[in-house]
Amino acid sequence: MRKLLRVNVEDGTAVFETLPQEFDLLGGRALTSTIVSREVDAKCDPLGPANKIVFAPGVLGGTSAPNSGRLSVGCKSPLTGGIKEANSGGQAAGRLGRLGIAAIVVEGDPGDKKWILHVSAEGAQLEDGAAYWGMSNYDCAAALRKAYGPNAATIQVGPAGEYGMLNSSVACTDPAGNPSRHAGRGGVGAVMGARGLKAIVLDDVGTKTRVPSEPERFEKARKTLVQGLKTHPVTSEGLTDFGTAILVNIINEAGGLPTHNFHYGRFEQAEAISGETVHQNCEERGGKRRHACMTGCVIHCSNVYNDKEGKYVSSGLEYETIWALGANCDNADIEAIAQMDRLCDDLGLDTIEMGDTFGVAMEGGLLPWGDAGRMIALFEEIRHNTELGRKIGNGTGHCARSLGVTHVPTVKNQGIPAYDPRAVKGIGATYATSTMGADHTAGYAVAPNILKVGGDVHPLQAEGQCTLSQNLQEATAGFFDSMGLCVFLAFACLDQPDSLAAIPEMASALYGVEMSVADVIAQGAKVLEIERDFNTRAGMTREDDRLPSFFHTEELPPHNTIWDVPDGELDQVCGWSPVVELG
Amino acid sequence: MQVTVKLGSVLRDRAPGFVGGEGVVELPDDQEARVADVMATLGISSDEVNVIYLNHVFAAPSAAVQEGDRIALFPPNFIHFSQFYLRRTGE
Repeated sequence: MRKLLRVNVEDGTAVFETLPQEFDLLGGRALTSTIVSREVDAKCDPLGPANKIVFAPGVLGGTSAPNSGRLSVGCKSPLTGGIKEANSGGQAAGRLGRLGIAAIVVEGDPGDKKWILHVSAEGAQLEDGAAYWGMSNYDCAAALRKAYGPNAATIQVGPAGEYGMLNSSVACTDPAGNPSRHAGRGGVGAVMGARGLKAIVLDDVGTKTRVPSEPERFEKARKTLVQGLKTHPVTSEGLTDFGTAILVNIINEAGGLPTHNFHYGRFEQAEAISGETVHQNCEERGGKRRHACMTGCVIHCSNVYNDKEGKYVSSGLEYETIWALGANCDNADIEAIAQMDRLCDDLGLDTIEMGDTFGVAMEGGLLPWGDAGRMIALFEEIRHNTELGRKIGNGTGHCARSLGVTHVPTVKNQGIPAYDPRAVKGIGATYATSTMGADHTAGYAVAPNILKVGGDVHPLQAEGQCTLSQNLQEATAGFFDSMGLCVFLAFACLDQPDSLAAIPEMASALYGVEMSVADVIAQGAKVLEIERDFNTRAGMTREDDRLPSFFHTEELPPHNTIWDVPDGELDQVCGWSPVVELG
Repeated sequence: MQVTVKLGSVLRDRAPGFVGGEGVVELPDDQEARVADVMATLGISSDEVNVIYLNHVFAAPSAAVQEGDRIALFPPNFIHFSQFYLRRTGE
């Protein structure tokens, strides 16, 4: 029987509760959003004492299911003002699953107290964390390993989270102990910091992989999925050999690589920051390809990037990071991008939000376009919480307004990721209508044939994008964000119906129930409904489900297209009633 | 007739003379050329290519090419949404 761990930072207690029966089949995003929706006043100040932060492994977390170690972090977002679920790889979710914990709910007003939450098979307790407060993520992870032993996997906030910056992440350690996996989006780090909670230390010594109700049935489904992943060209070769950075060249060729703060769809120097270049540098410098960010991963899409002297710089140089700190800022210096990726991980910053912020900062004249040296220097302003540091550490919208910039790529105040919505309109519909603000992962899983979206949808046409996006969002919330599975499984599941069916089959065998593909999609739709209800109570309206106005008026080269998906279609996705013209 | 070709990841082995996976391919002037002809010139078969962009538009091997066009070829191990829901020009 899974438990819920309720942690009160005001009175210093950590108490295990029986998981309500109605939560039995919930995990990950479904569980964090349900708890936040019920327990957090939608009108509360996200950094005030009424907000809570919830950590939940997915339904399959702690089992032997492949790639089942995604951790969901939920709260009211200080960046968007709406509900937030940001998820991360790393070791944490697997540990929580094996410890029998369905969710940790952290609540209360800590006053001046600073805490470390230590959880092991023996129990859970809050311990004095004052000695760790102020440490950057890498130093903190090393210090916690020293104090709690090499088995300690951690969930932690960096300085940006401690300072309450709206761009602040929650970091999770990877199998090597590096805090390089982040629940990045929406300022979740600031909410953890506002609870006075520096870190959660997870020790799973003495625990075992979760045992399914029907072990043979589970094993059969697990093997089907693993076999599918190991034979599909994307999950066994492309992602494995080149990582997500391989997308730089392809999105650039598609004319959808946002460049110069979303003014252009192509970056002339893309090759210098491409996956092929990263691949070659990894080979030559003794870095690592085929790196797994979590135990139990069979895809190994990550990498370890070393500098020219062969010294570790960062782990997991991702496409979105390279785009954000590269093309979007006219920066073709891959070494500087790797260094900034490390700084983001170390200070606890979301790389996408950071790149969008630099884009508007360059547009506003705060620093020259493409000036990597100045970009790196600005991270030190964040580290020391200076006024300038707060200007860029509080996200894209804040920075733009402080500089009088009107060309601001955000939705619900969250920075738009690495695909220009005028060139890839399906993703644009997701940016506009996601409950999370602009978020590519919310509807990226691309399973239209499985979801029976009829026919082709051309990226440059308006028609059909909303239906596509809605189906993708429901599938993503159900299959991946709530099961705790890596979204990259979608590439195999798309082509292999058996692999897709193996997911609900594993969940069925785990709990001894009958769950179908349709049930999982229905669960995803339910999650979105809960989140939309929260956002409405928080004060959001249909006008929040829109892209910024410049996308409607400024043509994006090379296609010279604008954003023209009708507002009425966006409203349909979000469940707003049609607008009736009077008179 | 000359076209510019950009190759992704493992396809680069087919054109060692290209720089950064990019180079110029010469095609006979006296015939109607298609993307498939460009691929044949480089010794790349159709099952080795999954995603094609012709002047930044998702295209099929049968799409016609003209002097000065830009053709990008990516192998099946590429992750991209286009193959699942985009209509290819030339079909």
